[in-house]
Amino acid sequence: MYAAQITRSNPTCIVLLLDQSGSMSDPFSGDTSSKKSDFVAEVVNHTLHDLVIRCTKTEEVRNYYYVAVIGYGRVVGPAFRGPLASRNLVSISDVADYPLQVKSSYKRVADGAGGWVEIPVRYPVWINPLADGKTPMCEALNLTKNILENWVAEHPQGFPPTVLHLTDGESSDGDPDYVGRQIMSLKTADGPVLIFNCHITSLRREKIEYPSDESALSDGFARTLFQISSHLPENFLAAAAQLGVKASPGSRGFVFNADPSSIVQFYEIGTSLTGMTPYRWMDDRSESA
Amino acid sequence: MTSPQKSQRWRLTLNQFLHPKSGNSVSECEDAIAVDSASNRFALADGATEAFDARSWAHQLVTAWVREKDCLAPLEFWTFVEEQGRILSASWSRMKLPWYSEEKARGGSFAAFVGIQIDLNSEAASWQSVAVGDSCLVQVRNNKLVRALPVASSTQFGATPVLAPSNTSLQPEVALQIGFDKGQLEDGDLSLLLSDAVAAWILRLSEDKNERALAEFLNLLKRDDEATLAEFFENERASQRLKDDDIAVLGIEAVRI
Repeated sequence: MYAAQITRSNPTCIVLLLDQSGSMSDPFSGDTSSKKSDFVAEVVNHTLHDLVIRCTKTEEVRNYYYVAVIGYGRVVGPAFRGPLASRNLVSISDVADYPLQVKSSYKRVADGAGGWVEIPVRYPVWINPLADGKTPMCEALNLTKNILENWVAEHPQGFPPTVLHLTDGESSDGDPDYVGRQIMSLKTADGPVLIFNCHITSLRREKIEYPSDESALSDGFARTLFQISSHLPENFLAAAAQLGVKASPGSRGFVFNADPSSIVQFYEIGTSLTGMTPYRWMDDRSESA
Repeated sequence: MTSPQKSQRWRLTLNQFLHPKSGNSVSECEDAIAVDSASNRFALADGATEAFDARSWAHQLVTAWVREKDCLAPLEFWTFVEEQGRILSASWSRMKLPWYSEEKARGGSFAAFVGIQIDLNSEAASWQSVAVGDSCLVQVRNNKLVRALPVASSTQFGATPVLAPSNTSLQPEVALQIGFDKGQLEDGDLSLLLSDAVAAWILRLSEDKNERALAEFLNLLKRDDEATLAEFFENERASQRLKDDDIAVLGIEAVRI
């Protein structure tokens, strides 16, 4: 399982499912300058950037991935803005060619002779931060399920789709357990759909990363998310190890009370399909001028 | 099959084969082979699939190296890589690239490389080789592997080999991992330059003492029967004995005349 080669004729699908409810405008604990929604939008834009770069072959972007970014808050639907707005599932080449905008900046890099030099870099943006309304998680998971039912029917031999779900609170439209299990029951010949969940918090609480059982989860909502989180396949475990994240066979793709660094790692690990080296954009960004 | 320069005592016979990974066309193959028959210099490079413009980098390294003189010592080879990287980077700067290509180009390109120079101007034919990464030189005598470098075992092929970078300033440590070796050739010796997947496959055949499959492969290579050889490798891929990757093989047989 989870060994199918990802090619243009046999692509895979990645769904980034984002909580955009009103509470996402709260800051992370200890950092009043940064809203959760701002940080998450930045991480998602970097994740899309990374996926595009991985598929870039000189001047061409090869369609190894199809990507959905689904937001839920006041409305449930595609979170893309700009030319891709209203599209549920987008080829990675269209993601590359149709960002909302491309920002320019400078980055400080070693010049190879012991000094530093500033070089121009470009940061594309596909989604804007959004925090409004309640938390209709079940409706968003249902939309995800519909997208993936079509996908696995059309790509029965492909690497199974991956869903990366980020939320900061409990569902406002019912128990997500049922639809979550429905998503987990979808499969290709290469294995069941993967769904990983990341819960973020504004409170200063101990985080729980990639547990293999529920014993450390005292909260009922945490247990629900744990139960609708897939086991991390071997390739993803290897990616976690490269990032220095503790995970072992049996670990679920689940983080509770995630802090900013956990969120970044969640997306890095979750997009490390087929054991690709995780793209450590936080390191990259640290030298930005 | 091509016949490079003969000496008064030796003749070299070449056979080469390139085959892309499944689903790709030959024009997308990122392995490259170059031959300079006048100087008896031969090279093979394997552009890293995830790198920018890897096909161009692999082609540039091999075609430039076979035209060089010497360039076998590690320091000399590193200087050569630096210069070729500058040329490649300059070619990118003349292109109007979309944002994603610009971003990817910043990381440069990468390729594994192996080159061999054969000296036939003496009674005892000899060779010198330089290599970086997991492209290999394998020497076959009487249908048996007698030497393999820089990787000597099928278990030593990994997902992240050391590779020759086009931007050497980003990975100066690679300069310390350039391999060099030399030796003598006997009558009938076959020197194989191989990219990683097929090198790992051949080493495994040897480790498993699967002489029948090795002999079948060598026979097909010498016959220059590309279609049958392609079918042979497709079967090996289907049976998962061979990793689905680009395949490059250059066989150089030295025969005393």
